[in-house]
Amino acid sequence: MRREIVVLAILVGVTIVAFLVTRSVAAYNDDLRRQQAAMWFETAQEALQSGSLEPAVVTLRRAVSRDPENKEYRLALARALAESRLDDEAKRVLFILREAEPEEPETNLQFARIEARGSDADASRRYYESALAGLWQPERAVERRAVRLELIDFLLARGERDRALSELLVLDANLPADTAAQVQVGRLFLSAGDPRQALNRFAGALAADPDDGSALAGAGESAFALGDYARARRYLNAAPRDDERIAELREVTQFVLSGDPLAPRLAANERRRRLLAALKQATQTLEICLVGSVVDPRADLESLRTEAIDFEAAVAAQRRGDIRDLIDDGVDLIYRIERSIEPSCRSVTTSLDRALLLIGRLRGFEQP
Amino acid sequence: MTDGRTGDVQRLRLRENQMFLALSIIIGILAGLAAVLFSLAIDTADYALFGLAPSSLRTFFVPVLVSLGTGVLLSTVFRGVRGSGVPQTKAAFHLQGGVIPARVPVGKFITAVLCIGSGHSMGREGPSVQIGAGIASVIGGWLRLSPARVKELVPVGAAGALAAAFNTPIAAVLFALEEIIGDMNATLLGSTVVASVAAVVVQRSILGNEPLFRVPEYALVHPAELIGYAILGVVGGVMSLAFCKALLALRGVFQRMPMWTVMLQPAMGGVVIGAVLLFVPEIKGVGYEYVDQALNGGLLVRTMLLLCVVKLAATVVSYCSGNAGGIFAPSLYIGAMAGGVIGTIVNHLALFPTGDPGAYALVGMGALFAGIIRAPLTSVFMIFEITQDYQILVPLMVANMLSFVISRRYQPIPIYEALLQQDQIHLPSVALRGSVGWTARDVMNAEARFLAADRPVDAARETMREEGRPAYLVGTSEGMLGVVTLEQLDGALASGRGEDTVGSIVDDVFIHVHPDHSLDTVLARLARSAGLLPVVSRLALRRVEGVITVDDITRFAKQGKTRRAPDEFGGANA
Repeated sequence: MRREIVVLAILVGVTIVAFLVTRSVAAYNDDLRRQQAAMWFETAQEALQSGSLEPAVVTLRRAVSRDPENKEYRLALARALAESRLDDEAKRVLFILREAEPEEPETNLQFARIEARGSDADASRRYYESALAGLWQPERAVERRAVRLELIDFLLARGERDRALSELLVLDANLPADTAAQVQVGRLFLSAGDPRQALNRFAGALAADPDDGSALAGAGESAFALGDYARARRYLNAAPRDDERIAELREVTQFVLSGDPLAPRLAANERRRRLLAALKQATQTLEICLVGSVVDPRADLESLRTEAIDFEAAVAAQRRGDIRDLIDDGVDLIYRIERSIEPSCRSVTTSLDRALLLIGRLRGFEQP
Repeated sequence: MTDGRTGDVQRLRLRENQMFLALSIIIGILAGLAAVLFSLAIDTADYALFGLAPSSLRTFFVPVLVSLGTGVLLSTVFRGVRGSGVPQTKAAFHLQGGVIPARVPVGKFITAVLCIGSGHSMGREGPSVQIGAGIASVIGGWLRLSPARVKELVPVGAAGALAAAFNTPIAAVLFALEEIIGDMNATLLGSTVVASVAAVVVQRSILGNEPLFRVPEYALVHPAELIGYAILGVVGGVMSLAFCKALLALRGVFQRMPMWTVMLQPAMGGVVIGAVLLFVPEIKGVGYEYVDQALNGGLLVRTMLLLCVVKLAATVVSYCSGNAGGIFAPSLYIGAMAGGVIGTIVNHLALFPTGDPGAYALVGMGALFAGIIRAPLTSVFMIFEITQDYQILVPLMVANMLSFVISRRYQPIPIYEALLQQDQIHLPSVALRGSVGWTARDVMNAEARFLAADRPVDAARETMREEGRPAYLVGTSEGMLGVVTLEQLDGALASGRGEDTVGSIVDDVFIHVHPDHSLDTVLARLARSAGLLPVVSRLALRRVEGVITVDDITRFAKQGKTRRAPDEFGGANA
């Protein structure tokens, strides 16, 4: 029995030594695997840089299998898989990461991007929100802002303006005094349907850099959307000339300001001239619309044409008299003509027609 | 005085039981450490031999050259360590009193690391089982334990090693009971559990708590999906059958090759594997990396189909050419690929909602394991331990059952036993293990007489006529060729073959019994024989331990031993 106890004691000693040896070997092996994983990861990065997605996925898989604990490799694999449109597998990789760290922003962001491509937009929004609510280090504030911007873009693309505006207000509260950032947010406010906030952002940007072309254009657009055409003209005239959209806006603004028969402080002759010019433009477009296309209901347009002819006659009858009583009716008629032709004959309308429509709205002729 | 002696015996027994428990823990830890070290060594060997991105030349020549070296080792220094290790462990447990020489675990470790590390398509679990069992047996020997205790340590070591190798403690215990001991009611349950738990604790403390595969949560999406899993079970059964048949057939071919080729046979396998690796490197070694990918939907269906077929063929070649490594991991690999393929097809064609192909890959692993290894309970628990998810159990059981039934119907002898039979080793049937009663050993006459194989037929006929015997054993007690009967000799003489040797006319398939066969079996087989029934060793079919004739039965009956008192049974089958 004594011999057995001695042998047993020796065995315990051997077991301890064996444990220590195995642990050292395991540690060495672990290092080796990590080195291999790092080499595969490097190869994958090179493949990604040269645009070879398939070899990148293969080598990233190897890197992950060698070092399964490494979050960076897994995320890179998920990204590469998502880029290769292997969404299901990418999601599985991300699930593993999310299981370990549910609040990791990058994982949730990748999920959000994949879901954004699929049909489950709600899931995508939830993942974006989880990404934003995740644990961000202070030095990653710029990345976090970029994620929020991405979410806002996503919401705007889906027409969820209210949600987008909420996110924009959060973004606005933490906005750096940086012209580009102000312009970017201003643009988003404009897209989200809040031109007043947008104008504030662009104005802020212009305070820092009065010659910033994007800010000038954005401010012009915002003022235009607010119906402040005089301010809009000021900004748009200073904005770069090479943008077609801005040029058109500038033209419309110019027409609104120079062709409004109801503008204050106008001489009677000028008011009359503006009214007739506007009516002529509206009637011309109406004629083109009636000739060149199948309009439905055609009868409405024809009755508007008759009404325009009658109105022109009425104005002519008071050639030397005061037409103050006819001005409102005239602007109303012009607005109705423009509104009726806009949906079916948009291709034949001009900047002037757009301006006439805006004048009607500006002067309160818009019907509910 | 008697009471005092009884008390001493009880105290001694208690101390022995405590000692055995302590030993089970130590063996569990050592077997677990050995399994971990074995797995790490394979990894290191793989990297050392192939590097990170090997050239074509290196890919081809590594398996060839390393197999040349292992061929020499396996046929000179480490004989008896080829292949899986599970059949050898079973044979050691059932036929050799659990005695495994120290060179076996050492040899298995070295050769299997080289074989698997050099790219042969084989698994590490089977060798781990043999290494663990070998360590247990050697320690039992050092401690001078009783033969019964040494035998009991073998499944303890095997369970510990498997638990650490696969990180599935429950499945390891079940495997030891189901496969090694062959009895689910074994009294060794406690020791195997202790060893298995100790091994897993050690393994996790070194390698961490990471599961072998990262498997997403899978569930039965729609009840009709069971049809899909049933199809997988049928396919799994057919594939298991194909694997087993191919393995046994090709191994037979290698065994029939001339003796001088034995040393070169692993390298022949190496040439094939080297060539295959040039085109399908994914089948290299254990291959769990790709199983993981299949489980996570990371492989295309055509890739999985290719890997399924090529892995099956490569494993058959690696194993049959006499390399050291198991079929446990390859069966899981093939199953995962087959499951992934079926899952993708069901996914595309089914009119009802279906689960992810990864779920089918997981069930496929279990189905192939149940079909090839024939350990259905182990299979179910193993997959359960991998997933830790009850939801997959129903599909798993359906597929496993079908695969198991199909495989058993067309390949009645389980693969490990069939492999042993190819090596002329016959394990006792489940009914015989631990049975009590008169056996062939009690009845046989140990003095068997032989005819020399080179004796001419006419001379042999003369001898038989003079001695009045109906049949004779041909050959020697260590190398019997078969049994020759009077009718056979008369027939040969009538056809003018009087000068031919007896060895040339003897039929090498002969009716025989083993020493532990019951008297009922002896009588039944004696009635079918020519009146002479050889009693041969289970470890070597051609080693004769005695003969039984009708006269031996009559003499035995006259001794008045038709019934044995219960206390006499102890020694007969111990």
